[in-house]
Amino acid sequence: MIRIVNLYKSFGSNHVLRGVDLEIRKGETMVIIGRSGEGKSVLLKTIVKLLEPDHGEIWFGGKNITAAGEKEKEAYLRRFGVLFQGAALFDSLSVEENVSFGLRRMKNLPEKEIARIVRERLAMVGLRDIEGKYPSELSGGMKKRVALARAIAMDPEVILYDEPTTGVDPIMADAINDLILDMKKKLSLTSVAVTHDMVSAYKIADRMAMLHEGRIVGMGTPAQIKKSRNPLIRQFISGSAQGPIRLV
Amino acid sequence: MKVMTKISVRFWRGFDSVADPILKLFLEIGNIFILLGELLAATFRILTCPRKLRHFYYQPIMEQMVRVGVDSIPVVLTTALFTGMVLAVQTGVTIEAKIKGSSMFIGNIVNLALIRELGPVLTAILVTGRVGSAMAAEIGSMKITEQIDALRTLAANPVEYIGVPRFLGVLCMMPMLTILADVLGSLGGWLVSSFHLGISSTVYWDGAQSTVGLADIFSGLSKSFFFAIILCIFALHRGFQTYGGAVGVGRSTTGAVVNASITILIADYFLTQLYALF
Ligand SMILES: Nc1ncnc2c1ncn2[C@@H]1O[C@H](COP(=O)(O)OP(=O)(O)OP(=O)(O)O)[C@@H](O)[C@H]1O
Ligand SMILES: [Mg+2]
Repeated sequence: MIRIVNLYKSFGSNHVLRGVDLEIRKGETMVIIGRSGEGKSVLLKTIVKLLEPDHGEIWFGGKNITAAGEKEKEAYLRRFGVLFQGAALFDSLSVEENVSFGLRRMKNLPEKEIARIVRERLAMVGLRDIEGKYPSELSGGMKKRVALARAIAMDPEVILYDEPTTGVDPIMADAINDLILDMKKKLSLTSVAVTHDMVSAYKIADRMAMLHEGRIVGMGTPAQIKKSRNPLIRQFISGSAQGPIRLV
Repeated sequence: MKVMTKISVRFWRGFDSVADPILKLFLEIGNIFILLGELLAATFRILTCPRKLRHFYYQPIMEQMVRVGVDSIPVVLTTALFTGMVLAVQTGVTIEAKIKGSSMFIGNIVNLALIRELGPVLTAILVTGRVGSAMAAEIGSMKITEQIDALRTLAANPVEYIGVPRFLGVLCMMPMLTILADVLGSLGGWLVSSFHLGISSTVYWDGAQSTVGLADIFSGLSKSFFFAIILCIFALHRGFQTYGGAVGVGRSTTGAVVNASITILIADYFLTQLYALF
C-alpha cells in the first residue's frame, strides 16, 4: 500500500536517511525499531509530507505522491492519522475541540453528530467525561490517548504512531498496545508504528523493520526477528551495550 | 596545474565563507517575502471564503483583537501621555530658553510630532514588545511541540490558522491604538502647557488645528498599517522557524522583537521620505 523507495533526507551535514526502502502492506502493522536519533520520526514525517525528502520516492496505492500536485497531496494526507511522539495536542483548545478539529474543518456535520463521534472516539481510547478539560490538565498518558482519539476521529486508512507507549506506565503501555490491536481490527487500519519498546513491538507488529544508520538493515515477522542472526538486530533486541552498534 | 587547483579550491572555500552569511541573508529576505505573500493570500482567502467556513475564524480573530488592542491600552496610553508631556516641556522650556517665543508654537510642534511620528512609532514599538514577543513565543513553542505539524496533518494551513487571526488582530488594532496614543499625547501636551507653562488653551489648540492637516493624519495612520505588517511578518517568521527547545523559543522571541523594531524604525524613515515627495 505504501512503498518507500530509496529515500534520502539530510539536515545540513547530518545525513539522517540514506536510502530507505520499505514496503507496508494493506492492513498490516509495520513496526520500525531503531536507536534514538536514527531518524524514525523523520521517516514518519516524510511519509506525511511534513518533511520533503532530498531524494527518493513514496508510492501510495500505485501513485507516486512525491511528485503529486497540491490537490492530490491534500487528498492523500486526509487518508492519514498521525500520533506524534509528544502527543502535540493544541494546548489552547479543549479536549473536545482537539478531537473534533479535523471533523469541524473538513466535514459538514451537525454539532450533535460531532459530539457523538468525539464521545465515541474518546471511549475507544478509554476516556470519558474529559471533553471540557485542557491538555495542561491531563497526564502524559491521557494526552497520548486524546491524541490517538484525534488521530482516528477522521476515519483514516493509515495511522502512523510515533512511540505510542513511551512515557506511560507499563500497564497503560499495554492498554495502548491493546488499543492499537483493537483499532486495527475495528477500523481495518494499516499502521506504521515507531518504537524502541520491544515488548510493545512484538505485541503489535505483523512485521518489523530495523532502521540503522539511515537504512533498513533487517525486516521480518516478530518471530523471524527474534531468531534473526543479524548482529545489529541481535544487539538491539537484546538491549546490549556490547556489539557492532557503537554508542557514539 | 596541481598548485593551481589547490589555490582555486582554497579561493572558493574562502569565498564560500564570506558568501555564506550573505547568501543566508538573501535567503532569509526571500523567505520573509514568501511568507508575506502566503499571509496576504491566506487573509484574502479567509475574508472571501463562504460564511460556513468563516465562522471558524471569528472567535480567534476576536480573541486576538482583544489581546492586541484592549490589553495594550494601558501601556500605550501611559506612554503616550508622558511623551506628550515631555514634548511640551522640551518645547516650552528647553527650546524657549534658546529661541524666545517658541513656546507660542507648542501646540503646533507637540501635535505634529505626535501625529506624524511619535504616535505611530511608539505604538508600534510598544505593541512589538508586548504582542510580537508573545506571538513568536507562542508559535515557537507550538513548533517545538509538533503542534504545527499536527495542524498540517489535520489539513489546516498553519499560516491560515495561526497567522491570519493574529495578522488581522494587529492590522486592525494598531491604527486604533495609534489614534488613542495621538489623543492622549495631545492631552498630555495640553496639560503641561496650560497648567505648568501657563499658556492659554486657545493658543495650544489653535496651534494644533492650524498645523495638523489631513495629510499628516493620513501619513501617521498609514505608517501604522505598515508597522503592523512588519511586526506580524517577523513574529510569524521567527516563530515558524523555531527549533531547538526552550532555548530556541527564547531565541525566536528576541529575534522577532529586535528585527521587527529595527525594521519599523528603518521603514519609518523611508516612508517619511516617500510621503515628503507628495
Ligand atoms: N527539523 C529538523 N531539523 C534539523 N534536524 C532534525 C530535524 N528533525 C530531526 N532532525 C535530526 O534528525 C535526526 C533524527 O531525528 P529523529 O527525531 O527522527 O530521531 P528518532 O529516531 O525519532 O529518535 P527518538 O527515538 O529519540 O525519537 C536527529 O539527529 C535530529 O537532530
Ligand atoms: Mg522520534
